Amino acid sequence: MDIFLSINNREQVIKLPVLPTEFKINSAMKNETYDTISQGEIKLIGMEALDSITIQSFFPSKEYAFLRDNEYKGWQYVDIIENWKLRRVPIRLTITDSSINMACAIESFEYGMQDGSGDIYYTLTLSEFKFIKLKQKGV
Amino acid sequence: MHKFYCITNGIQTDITPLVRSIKWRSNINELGNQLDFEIAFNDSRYFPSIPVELGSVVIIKNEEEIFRGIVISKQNSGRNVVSYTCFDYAIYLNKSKEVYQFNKTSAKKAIETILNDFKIPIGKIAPISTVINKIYNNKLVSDIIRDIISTAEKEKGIKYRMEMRQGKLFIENQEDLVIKATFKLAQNIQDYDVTSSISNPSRKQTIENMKNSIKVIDTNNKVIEQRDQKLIDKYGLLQDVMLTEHKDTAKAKNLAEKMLKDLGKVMEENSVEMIGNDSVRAGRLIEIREPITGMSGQYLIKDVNHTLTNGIHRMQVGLGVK
Repeated sequence: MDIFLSINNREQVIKLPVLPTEFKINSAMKNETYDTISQGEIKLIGMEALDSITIQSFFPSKEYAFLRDNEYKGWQYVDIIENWKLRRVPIRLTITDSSINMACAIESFEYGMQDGSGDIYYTLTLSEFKFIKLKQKGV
Repeated sequence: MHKFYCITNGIQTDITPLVRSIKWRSNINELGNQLDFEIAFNDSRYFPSIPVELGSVVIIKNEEEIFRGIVISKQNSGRNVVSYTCFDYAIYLNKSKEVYQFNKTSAKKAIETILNDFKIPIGKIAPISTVINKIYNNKLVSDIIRDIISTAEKEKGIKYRMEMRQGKLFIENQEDLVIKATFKLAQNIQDYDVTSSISNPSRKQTIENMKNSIKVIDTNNKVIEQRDQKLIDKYGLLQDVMLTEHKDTAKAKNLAEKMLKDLGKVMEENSVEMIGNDSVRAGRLIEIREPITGMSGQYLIKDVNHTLTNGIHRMQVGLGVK
């Protein structure tokens, strides 16, 4: 399994050098509970909410035996993602060996150093980006 | 599933994917429905440009068309959403003034004349034979129509309701507008009656506006009185006096009877919240049985506020006695 992040039709691609120990996609519905006087609460099924995912791992500052990719080093990864944020376009998340391949918006990106290794630990929260197409016809 | 269409410059766009927080309402005292909605707006890439402009036609369709109107105001605030307000075509009757003189014209003919002058398409107008002899000077067109209808209602003792449907004006006998409203919890589940989803019912009964004795004075100064003795014994005497232009005693008596029937009862001001149904509109009649507050029977829908957020349709309904 590998995790890829890319922007603008693979103009720039990051292959995560260290995989997170786990990830979970949060796929929710916006349901509502409605209080009736004759039968108490009933459930109203709403629309689908946007999927979201949080990836927690680190960008290595030096060579490790277990790295899956060594194209960039430490702060370079941070700079790339920071630049992506400024461009205000969706990015694409692809996870091999799974069906996950979705356009995303960066919700938050938290990073910093810990334990003196020089590695940058980060938490990246992404949420689904839906493309909208409007159907038109002459009348 | 409700669908939203917008027609601008001859191009129809399905704007359903962009619309959020839709509200539409109707009130028995107003001719015409109002629709408020918000459209997603964003200046980032990949975001479609919004085709809705002032004067655009907006249509909501579910199983059938439930609203058709004109965008009359637009509000941009910040970066995120644009809100729009629309009214159906009755806005042209509500915003225009005109001078009319009717001389022995039947009510139906008079209303048709007005609607044709303002190019409002006519769906159906009930045959109202009441004769109109009146000059309307510099009055709102909707008020003129309403005055003609209320003259006919007093004479005939029949209630008429007007509403816009699919861009056309209908004036019908209220008794023909009884609705049976249902809702579905999911697509593959049977329909339930909306009254099984009543939430927050409130019922107010009042004799504040009751009249249990009506005196009509005709042109010969003859007084015709109609009273409801049962109501007088119970609530005391509440009397109204009216002058009429009729010389005919029988007509004056008829008028008094019709007024007593209309005003000689306990009035109700009720409100309920229910799961939404498109056919619920002000002026129509709905059957409500709600044992906790004791509502039972046919009620007149006085006002409705529909909201549609996140795929869930709800409504707040104000009810009165018919």
